[in-house]
Amino acid sequence: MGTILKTGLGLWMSLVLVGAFCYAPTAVGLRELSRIIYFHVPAAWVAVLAYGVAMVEGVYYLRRRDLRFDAKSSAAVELGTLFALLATITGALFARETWGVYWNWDPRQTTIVALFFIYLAYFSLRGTLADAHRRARLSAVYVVFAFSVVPFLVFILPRAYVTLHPSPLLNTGGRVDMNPQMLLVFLAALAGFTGIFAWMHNLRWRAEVLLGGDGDGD
Amino acid sequence: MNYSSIWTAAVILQKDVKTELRSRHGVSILILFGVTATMVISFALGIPDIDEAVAAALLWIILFFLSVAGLGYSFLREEEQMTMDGLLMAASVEGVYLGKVLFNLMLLLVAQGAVLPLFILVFNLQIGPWARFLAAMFFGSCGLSVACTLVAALVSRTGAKGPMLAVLAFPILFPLLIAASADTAAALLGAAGEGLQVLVLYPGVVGAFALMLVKFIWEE
Amino acid sequence: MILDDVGHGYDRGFLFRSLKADLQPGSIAVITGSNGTGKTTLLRILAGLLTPREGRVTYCNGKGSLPISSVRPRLGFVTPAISLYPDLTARENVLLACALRGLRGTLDVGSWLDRLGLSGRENDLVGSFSLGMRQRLKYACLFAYSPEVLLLDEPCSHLDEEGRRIVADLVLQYRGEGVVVIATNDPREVQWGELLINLDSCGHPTKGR
Repeated sequence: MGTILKTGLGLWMSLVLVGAFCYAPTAVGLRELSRIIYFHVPAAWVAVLAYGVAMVEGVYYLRRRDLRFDAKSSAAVELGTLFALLATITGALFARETWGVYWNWDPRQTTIVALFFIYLAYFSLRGTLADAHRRARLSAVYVVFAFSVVPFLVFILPRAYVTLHPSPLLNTGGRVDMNPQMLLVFLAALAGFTGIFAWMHNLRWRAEVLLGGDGDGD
Repeated sequence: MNYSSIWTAAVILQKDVKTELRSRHGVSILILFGVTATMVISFALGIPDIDEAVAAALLWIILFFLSVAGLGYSFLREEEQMTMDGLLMAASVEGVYLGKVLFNLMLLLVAQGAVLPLFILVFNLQIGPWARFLAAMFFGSCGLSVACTLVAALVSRTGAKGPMLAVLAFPILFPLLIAASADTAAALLGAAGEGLQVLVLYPGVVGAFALMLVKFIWEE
Repeated sequence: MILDDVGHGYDRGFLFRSLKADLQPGSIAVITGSNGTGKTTLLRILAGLLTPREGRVTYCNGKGSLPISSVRPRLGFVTPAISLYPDLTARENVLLACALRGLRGTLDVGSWLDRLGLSGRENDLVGSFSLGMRQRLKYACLFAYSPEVLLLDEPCSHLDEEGRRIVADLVLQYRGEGVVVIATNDPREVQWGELLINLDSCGHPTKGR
């Protein structure tokens, strides 16, 4: 079963790669540059999804006090950091080519930086705690507490400042600015990245449980 | 949150104010930090007139570091003096948290009473509408206190000292600091700004999360 | 009033397991055991500051079990791990312990300080007190809010002969009013107990005395 899923995921991502570079047409005005959305947007989506997973598993830990939830939560943060890094780099490259600068504090760039800081702070907090249960509890509290700033980052701050960021899916009119071929590849890429995240997350948290033992921490 | 938590908060506030008046540890750290930072910046820049946006950003950077330097003591001292368990035995955690939030807010406002006039004087600032400027300072301080107090409680349980509070509080305070410096800049220019609604909402939203979570911090 | 179900362990392995005891008001239980066998840990569990790894502690009144958060303020816990505020006076410390529990108004603070031999020092900062005086003051804080359960960890540490006598009198006099649990290795204090929990023998209670 696992082998079929893994092989399927590999094939799926190969198709996404081929589709992104050969099948999908380029967008008007952006030319070849538009192909970055098949990698940048899914990476950013996974970075946010990872935070959501970390938060939900944190809540589960606080309720059940099972260290497996803590392993899931911290594994999600580790992967979230990786994908946030990928999204930031691809985003900066796109910004350089279209707006002329790598960085201009666009609200979306601000949001991803805020996410980064939350992730880094989370690791420093874990680093100071030796007892496995206390570490699990306090990092769960922190990751849930950090969720309180999400409404400000996502809804309130971006509205107060203008953005140049293209909004391919979630724009105000609710319409989709992509032709069917582009949309197909884009959605396939989203699904593929989510699958990769699920697979890596599953490996990582189980490894963490094995490394951590049961309740003894490191 | 109920009536007894508010009573506890009042008792804790009264106790902390009494101890603070006897030792003046907390308030002197905050004021010294604020005054030193203001003087150093002013000296380094060498010019009295700076852009309003720059002045507002500098002011909030000072207030951020002043908070993380001074507000951590609220729980750290209870932990070091081994009095925290006594409080937990006697009263609700939410009440203790709320009392510390009020005390920290008071510390911040007193410190600002000393730092703000100096800052305005040194940088030769013309305040647009005073009410808007002071509202930004007040609600911004509420946000700083609400967030820093919860993080201070977390840090007091880690055994880590010093910069840990800054590292953990910064991501939480990030939107507040952006909105506060934007709104303060608008107030200095006498322009309309949208920052104030964030400043008013922030303590409410973050405070609600904190009250929900604070009981887990001491639950061994 | 307090019903102790099953017991607990620590980080690596267990300190003690399967502790069972039913403590009724009017009785004194004594926990003994060499250093590191978990006397203080057990008291922290009884105080609700620590959740046991296995089993649970239940507090009951006549009608049913009570949540620990509502019971905690009515427990009196004296332990070297909980200190008084050095920047407050003796009287202020006692008043604070009462105020946090919602008590105020005509409190008989003076007479409790008096009974513990602290009269004359009630307005001095606790920071200037000796360890023995602080230990006495802890009892003044405790009895001033009339707790329903006493949890005493090394009840007479730092106390002189006179202090020991005062505390012994107070505890034995209190016996009729509620449950008393004492963690100690001092043979004189062990004598107070009707129920003996020896953590050296893995914690199965025996009838003592």
